[in-house]
Amino acid sequence: MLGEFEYVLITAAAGLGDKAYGAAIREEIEATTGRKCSIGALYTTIDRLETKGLITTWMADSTPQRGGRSKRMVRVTPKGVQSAKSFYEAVVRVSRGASWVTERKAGAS
Amino acid sequence: MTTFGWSLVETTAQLLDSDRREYVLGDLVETAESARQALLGILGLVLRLEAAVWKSWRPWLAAFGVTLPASFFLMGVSVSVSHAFIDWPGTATLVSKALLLIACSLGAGYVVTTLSRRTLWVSAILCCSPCLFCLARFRVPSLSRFSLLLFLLPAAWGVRQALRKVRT
Repeated sequence: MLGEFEYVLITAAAGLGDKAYGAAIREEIEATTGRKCSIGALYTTIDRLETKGLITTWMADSTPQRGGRSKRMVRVTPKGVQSAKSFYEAVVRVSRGASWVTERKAGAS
Repeated sequence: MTTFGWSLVETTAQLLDSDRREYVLGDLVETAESARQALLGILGLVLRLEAAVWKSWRPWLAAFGVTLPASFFLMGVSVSVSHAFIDWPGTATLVSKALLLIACSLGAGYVVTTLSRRTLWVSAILCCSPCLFCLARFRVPSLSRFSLLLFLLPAAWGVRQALRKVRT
C-alpha cells in the first residue's frame, strides 16, 4: 500500500503526463494540497517509488530557464497506476461513513 | 539569489552526486528559490539521503560490527608486532606476526568498504576515535606511541582495493 505522499506524487506526475519532472511535480503538489513540498521529500520519495517499480525516471535535455541544467523526468508505470488506484479506492471505502462525506452529499442533493 | 548565496548553495550541492546535483540545482533555478531556501532544501535532501542509507543493516555492521572491534584488535596486533621487532623472538615469529597484521588490516579495510561504501566516512571516524584515545594513554617506554597505528596503512590499502573493485 502506498503512503499518502507517495499517492500525491504519483497522482501529480500522472496528471502532468509528458511534462512530469521534479520542479513541475513539486509546484503541482504545492498548488493542489496547499502544503510546502521540500526538495528533499520530493526526491527521496521519487527514489523510493522508482525502487518499487511504480515510476521510471530519466535525465532530459537542459533548458535556458534552468541555467542550462537538465531535468529528471518522471513517468508512472502501469504498476504505479494500479497502486494509486488501489490507494484511492481504499480511501473512498474508508471514507463512506465519515461525517464530512455525508454532509457534502446532503449539501449537493 | 545573491552571488555569495548561490556560491554557498553550489558548494553545498557538491555533497550530492553529479546527476542529482544537476537536476536539483536546475529545479532551484527554475523555481527561483531564495539562497536560504535553496540551501535548506539541499541540506534537507542530503540528510534524508544519508538517513535512507542507514535503514539498511550493512552500514551498521560495517561501522559497529567490523570497524570498531577491528580497530582495537588491530592496535593490539600492531603493538605485538612492534614488541617482536624490538625483542626479536626470531625472524619466523616476527614475519608471521607482521603477515597476520597485514592480512587482518587489509581484510578489515576491504570488508568495511564492500559492506558500505557510502558510509565509509563514519567507519573512518569510528576507526580514528579509539586510535586517538589509545594514543593519548599509551605509555610503553621502549615503544613509540605510533606503533599502535601500524595497521592503518594496510587497512587503507584494503579500502583502496575495494573502491577500485567497485568502480570497475
